[in-house]
Amino acid sequence: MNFRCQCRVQTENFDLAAEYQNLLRSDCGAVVCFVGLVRDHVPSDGTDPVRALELEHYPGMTENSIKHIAQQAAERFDIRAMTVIHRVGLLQVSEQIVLVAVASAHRAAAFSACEMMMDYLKNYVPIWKKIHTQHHSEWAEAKSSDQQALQRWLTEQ
Amino acid sequence: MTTQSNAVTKILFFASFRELIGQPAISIHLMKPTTVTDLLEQLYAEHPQVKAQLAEREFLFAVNQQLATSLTLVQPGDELALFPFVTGG
Repeated sequence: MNFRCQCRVQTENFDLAAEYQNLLRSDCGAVVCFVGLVRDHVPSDGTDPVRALELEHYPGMTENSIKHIAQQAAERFDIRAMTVIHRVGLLQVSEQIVLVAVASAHRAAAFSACEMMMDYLKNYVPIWKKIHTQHHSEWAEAKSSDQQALQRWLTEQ
Repeated sequence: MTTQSNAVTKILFFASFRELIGQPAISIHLMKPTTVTDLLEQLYAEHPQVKAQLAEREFLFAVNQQLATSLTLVQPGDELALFPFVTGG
C-alpha cells in the first residue's frame, strides 16, 4: 500500500500551512486537517477557567501507537498520506495541541480517517493532560464520551 | 552482579501515578517470566506504599511499550509501565 505517515511529538509549536504543503500530492484531491487547541473553559468541578495545560507522554510508546493507529486507518480508508503532530509540555490558552492532517483522492476517506485517528488517539495513545487554573492544578479525567466515540469504529464497517 | 543485570525489570509510572508514588520508576529483580498480575504482587510486597497509593485506582499497563492485560507474560529485563487512562488529543 502506498501510504506515508509522519508522526512527531514535540514541545515546539507547528506551522499548519507548512504541514499542509508537505502533505500535498498529485494523486490527492482532498486534504482534511484537524487542530486541537487549549481553551479557557471552566472545569466542571471548578470556578476559575483553565490558564494552561501541561502534557506528559510515554516517549517511544506514544510515537509507535500513533503510527500503529495511522496504519489501521490506512487499511480501512483509501488515504495516501497522514501527518500527526502532538505537542507536550506546558501550553497556554489558544496554543495548538495536536494536528491530524490526512490526504486522499476523495474527501470522504480523509474525513473518516481523520475522525478515527482522533477517536483512537484519545483512548489509546499514552498522553496525559494536567489542567492548570489560577488557584489549582489537577490531572484531567478520562471522559466516557471519548470511549463512546470509539464504539462507532468498532461496530461500523 | 553482571549476570543478574538482565533480570532487572523496570516498572515505570506516568502522570498522576508518578506524582503519587513520588518517583518515575522502580526496579524489580525478576528471575523468571511471570504474569503482570504476579509482578504487581511482587512490587506491592517489596514496596507496600505503592499498593496503598494505587489502591482503588483503575489503570492501564504496557509491557515493552505495548498495551497489555493482567495475564500478559513479563520476561526478566522487560519494561512494565503503569498509568491512568489517557487524556491526550
